[in-house]
Amino acid sequence: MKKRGDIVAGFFGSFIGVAVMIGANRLHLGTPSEPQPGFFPFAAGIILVVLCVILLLQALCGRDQRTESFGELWRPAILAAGLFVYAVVLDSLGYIIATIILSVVVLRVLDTKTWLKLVGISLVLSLGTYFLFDRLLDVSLPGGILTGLM
Amino acid sequence: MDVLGNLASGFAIALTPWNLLYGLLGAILGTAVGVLPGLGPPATIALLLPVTYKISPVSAVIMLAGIYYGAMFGGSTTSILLNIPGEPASVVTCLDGYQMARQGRAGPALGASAIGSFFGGVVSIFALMLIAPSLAAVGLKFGPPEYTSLVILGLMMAVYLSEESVIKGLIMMMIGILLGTVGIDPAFGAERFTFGLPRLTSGIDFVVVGMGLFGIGEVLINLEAPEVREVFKTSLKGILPNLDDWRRSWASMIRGSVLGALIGVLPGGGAVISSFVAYALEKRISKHPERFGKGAIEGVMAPETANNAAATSSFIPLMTLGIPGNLSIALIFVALMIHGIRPGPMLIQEHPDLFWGVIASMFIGNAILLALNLPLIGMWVKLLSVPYRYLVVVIVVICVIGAYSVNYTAFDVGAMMVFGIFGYLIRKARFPAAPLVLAMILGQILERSMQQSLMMAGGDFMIFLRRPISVGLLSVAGLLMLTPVARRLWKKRHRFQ
Repeated sequence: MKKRGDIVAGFFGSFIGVAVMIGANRLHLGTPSEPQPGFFPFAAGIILVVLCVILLLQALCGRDQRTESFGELWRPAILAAGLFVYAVVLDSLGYIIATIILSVVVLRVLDTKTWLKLVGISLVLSLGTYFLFDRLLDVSLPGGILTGLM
Repeated sequence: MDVLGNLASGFAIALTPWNLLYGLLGAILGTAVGVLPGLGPPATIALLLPVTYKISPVSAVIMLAGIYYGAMFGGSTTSILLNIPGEPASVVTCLDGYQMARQGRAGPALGASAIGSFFGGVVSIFALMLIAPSLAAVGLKFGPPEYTSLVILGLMMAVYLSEESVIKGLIMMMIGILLGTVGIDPAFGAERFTFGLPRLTSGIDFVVVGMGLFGIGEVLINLEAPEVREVFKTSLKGILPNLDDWRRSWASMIRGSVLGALIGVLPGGGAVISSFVAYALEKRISKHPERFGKGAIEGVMAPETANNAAATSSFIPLMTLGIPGNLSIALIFVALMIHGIRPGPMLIQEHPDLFWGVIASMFIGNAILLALNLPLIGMWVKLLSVPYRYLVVVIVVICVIGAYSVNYTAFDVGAMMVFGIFGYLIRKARFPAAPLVLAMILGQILERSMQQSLMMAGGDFMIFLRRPISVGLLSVAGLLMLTPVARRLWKKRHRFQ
C-alpha cells in the first residue's frame, strides 16, 4: 500500500505529540498571562497531534500522497551501523584510527576493489583532515591511543 | 552622501589582508561545494563554524557569506556538464544547461551563468545597502507581538515553499519547534525534555540536526543505488555567449536579478526557491516556450542570476529584523550569536563595521568569483572527474568533524547519525526536511516573543489581532495556508462542470 508511510508517520507523530503534552504538563503549564516552562511545548504538542490526525485521515481516505519505495538497504545499513560504532570508539581510539577504519568500510561498501586504494585513500583522508583541522585550524580532534605520538 | 562614506569605510575593512584572505577562502570553498554534488552550502558553513569562533565576527561573516554566494556560482557547472545539480539552487539549471552542453554549447551556458550570477549578486548588494537601513528603522518599531507574527509568517513561508504537501511541512515544522525546546528553558531555567541526560541540558544543536538530515541523510539515499556519473565531454572553447545569446537573455538577467532579490528578502525564501520561480516566469512569458528544456539560454540565465541575487538579499531580514529566512543564513545567525552579536534592528547602528565591511566584501567576493568561474572554469571541471565514491567518504568525514566540533563530544556524532536515519526515512515518506531545521531556530525566537506578548497583554491572545502590522503578517500567513485548500476546491468544482 502506497499510503503506509503516511499512516505510520501519522501514528508516530501523534504518539510524540501526546508524549510531549504529558511531559509539558509535568513542567507546569501556568496561565496565558503567566506562562510556565510547559506552556509553549504543550501548545506545540496539541498542534502536532491535530496535524497528524489530519494526515492520518487524509491517508485513510485515500488522498494520493506520493511515497517512495526502498531499494537495496544493506549499504545504508552498514554506514549507519559504522557511524554508531564510530561515535562509541572515537574518544578511546582517537580520530585518526577511527576515521581510517570508517573510511575503509565506506569505500569497500561502495565497491572499491584494490586494497592499495582502500588503505591509501583512507590514510590520506584521515591524516590530511586531522592536520588541517587539528593543527592548522585549531579545531581539536580526539587523540585517543595515539595521543603523545602525533 | 552617507552611503558612500559608509561604503568607503566598509572597503577599508574588507580590504585588510586577513579579511581579503577570508573572503577569497570563502569564495573558493563556496565554488568547490557548489560544484561538488552532495555537499551544500549549509553543511560547509556548519563545518567551518568552529573555525570562526577564533576570528573576528567581521571576518567570520565575510567568509561564511562567501561560501553561500560562492556556491551559487559553482552549482551551475555541475548542472550543465553532468545534468546533476551541484547544489539545490541549480536544479532547474539542469533542464536547459545540460541540453546546451549536448548541443556543444557548454561554454556559453557556463559563461551566461557566471555573468548572470555576478550581475544578480551586484544588484542585490545594492538592494541590501539601500533597503536594509530603512527596513531596520521599521524593525525598531516592532514589539514582541509583531515579532511573533513575523516568525509565524516565516515558518509558514518555509512550509509553503518546501514543495511537498503543506500538512507534512507543518508536521515537520512542529517537530522542529519541539526539538528546539529541548534543554534549559531560557526564561525559567527549567530543564525540558532532557530525560536526565546531562548532554541534553544545553539543547540539541541545530548544526548536528542539519548535518544529519541533509549530509548523512542524502548519503544514505545515494548509497541505496550508487549512480554512475559521467562528465559531458566537450570542448570549452568560446566561453562567452554570442550576440544572439545576449539578445535572447539580457532581459532574463534583469528579471532574474529583481525576482531573486525580492524572493531572498521573504522570510522562508532564499536561493533555491528563487531559481524555480525565475525559471517558471521565463517560460511563462516567453514567446517560444517550446524552446525551454531544449537548450534555451534564458532557462540558464534567469535561475542562475536569481539564485545569487536571492542568496545575497537574504541577508536583509537577518541584518535588519534578526530573522533568518533559510538554513545558510540561520547558521550565520548562530555564528553572530556566538560572537555575542544579536542580529536585529540595532545591528547596523551598533556594528556598522560588520554591516558595511560585509557589504564591501560582497562586491570584492563577486568580482573574485567571476574570475574563478569564467577564465578559471577548467579547474572546476577537473574537480568533477573525481569518482562519486571518493566524494561520499569525504562528505561522511566532513559531517563527522562538523558534528563533533560543535561541542567537542562524540555524543553529537551519534546524535547526527540518528538524525541521518530520520532524514532518510522522512525523505522516503516525502516529508520536507528544511522546515524542521529552520523551525528549531525560529521556534526559540517565537517562544520568547510570544511569552513577552502574552505577559504584556495579560494573557489575552487578541493582542496579535489588535496591532495592524501583526494582523497584516498573520493574514498573509493564513492566506498561504489556505491556498492549497482553495486550489483543491477549485479543481473539484471544475471537474464537476
